[in-house]
Amino acid sequence: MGNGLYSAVSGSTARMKELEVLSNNLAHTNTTGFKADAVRFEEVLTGKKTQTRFVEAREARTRHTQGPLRKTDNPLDVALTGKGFLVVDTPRGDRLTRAGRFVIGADNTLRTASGHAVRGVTGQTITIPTLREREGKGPIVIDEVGQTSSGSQVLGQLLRVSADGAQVKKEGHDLFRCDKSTDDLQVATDTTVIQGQLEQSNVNPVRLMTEIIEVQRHFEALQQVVKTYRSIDGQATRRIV
Amino acid sequence: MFRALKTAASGMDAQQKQIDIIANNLANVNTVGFKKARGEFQDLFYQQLRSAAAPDASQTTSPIGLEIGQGVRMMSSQKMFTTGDMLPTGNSLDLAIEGEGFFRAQMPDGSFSYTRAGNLKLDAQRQMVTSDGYVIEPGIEIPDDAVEITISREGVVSVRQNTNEDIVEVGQLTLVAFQNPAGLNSKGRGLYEATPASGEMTEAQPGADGLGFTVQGQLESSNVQVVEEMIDLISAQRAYEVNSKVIQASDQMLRDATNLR
Repeated sequence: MGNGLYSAVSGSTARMKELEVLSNNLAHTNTTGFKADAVRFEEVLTGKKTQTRFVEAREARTRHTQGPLRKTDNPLDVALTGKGFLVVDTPRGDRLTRAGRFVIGADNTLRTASGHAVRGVTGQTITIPTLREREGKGPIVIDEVGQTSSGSQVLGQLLRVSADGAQVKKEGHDLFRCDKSTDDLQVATDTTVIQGQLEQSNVNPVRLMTEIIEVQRHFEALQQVVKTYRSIDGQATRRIV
Repeated sequence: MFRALKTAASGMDAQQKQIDIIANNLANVNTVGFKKARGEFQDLFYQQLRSAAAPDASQTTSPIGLEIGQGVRMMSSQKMFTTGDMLPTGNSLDLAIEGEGFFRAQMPDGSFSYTRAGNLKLDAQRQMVTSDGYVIEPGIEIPDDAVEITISREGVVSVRQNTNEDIVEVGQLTLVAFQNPAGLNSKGRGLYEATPASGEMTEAQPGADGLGFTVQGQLESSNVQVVEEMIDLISAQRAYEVNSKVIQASDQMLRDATNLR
């Protein structure tokens, strides 16, 4: 059997994995703070004599580009512009997120829509006073550096950290896990917090659809290669026997 | 069999729920005191096919792993308590809340529900009730011979009786606010129910403690913005469509593989 057959099969498997990643991106065209993934392929060489070459889906790299902002006018929605992340407390430890859909928890702390407390710069959570305590002080304002205040009373400042794209991994539920401890991360001074807006998914459906067409056609071509090998091998067998 | 099929199906499912939410918002575009909901999507777990920092053939460690997401889910539908437009009606029992707060209504089982639909009525006992007949707490009775009802911005209800030229005060309305109104349960008919997630409750007369004022002769219309909903509808429909295309592409690829033999 020709070595090319295995190359074609490895190509098909790699393209199937790519379609899985692309379909996940497409499922998230409307998910707040979602970042698209892209697969990188790598050539794998096995056996020095045979020179068999395979291709393998090697890594899924998350594209941390800015998503478009959408105005919601909800005072507890914040969008980030720039490379930074916000920090939330989860039962599994600190996690990073860019989905700034906040709510006030039953204990009056600022939490994400999944219920994780949002970290302030002092390492504490941010407590929102009740309406009665806030009386006359005006609405909750979150400024560009994440300073949260009600009138003249400062409630805390959102912690913005910068993490390299290679250091963070997606964990699902809007969260990213970072290899480094949060204390070792730099404060992201280049990241701006915008109140009343949300960062949309950075998935570009048009580009994705063309990528999916490309994957599908390439897969088809590879299947033709496999079929060709099969007919060559078939002919060889018939002529010899 | 092929993760892409299930991932795309999760996308279609979530977008369908989004369209359900939009449909309900649009259906209530003229409902007094209605608060629109917003669908929140979230990513599911990632399957690690190769973990980052795993040693590879060339004895170096790869900086990034291969993780494949399992799709999307509709996490929650958040009620948006932004104020709707004020509609002047001239009806003396129509009340709009200017700012935060809810009216408290007593259910037949003794529990309380909260509403912003201020199209109040009088029942057979001449008590102030919601349009479904639930008594507004604290109860206010309007005398039989009242010819004019005045409700101040601070919620003081007074009447002028035909036997008496003087204006008599008959009650004081109170409003209730919640720390996290998004945590309230929608019961339908414009009513909400308190939950542990809705947080601390503040009850006071209108205008006090940060609560809104009551405005007589006006109603708060729905806060649904038709244009916004239409844009969301287009976006959800297209997202549904592209996810269905992924299913077709996956199906075709599986068919190609099946045709090998």
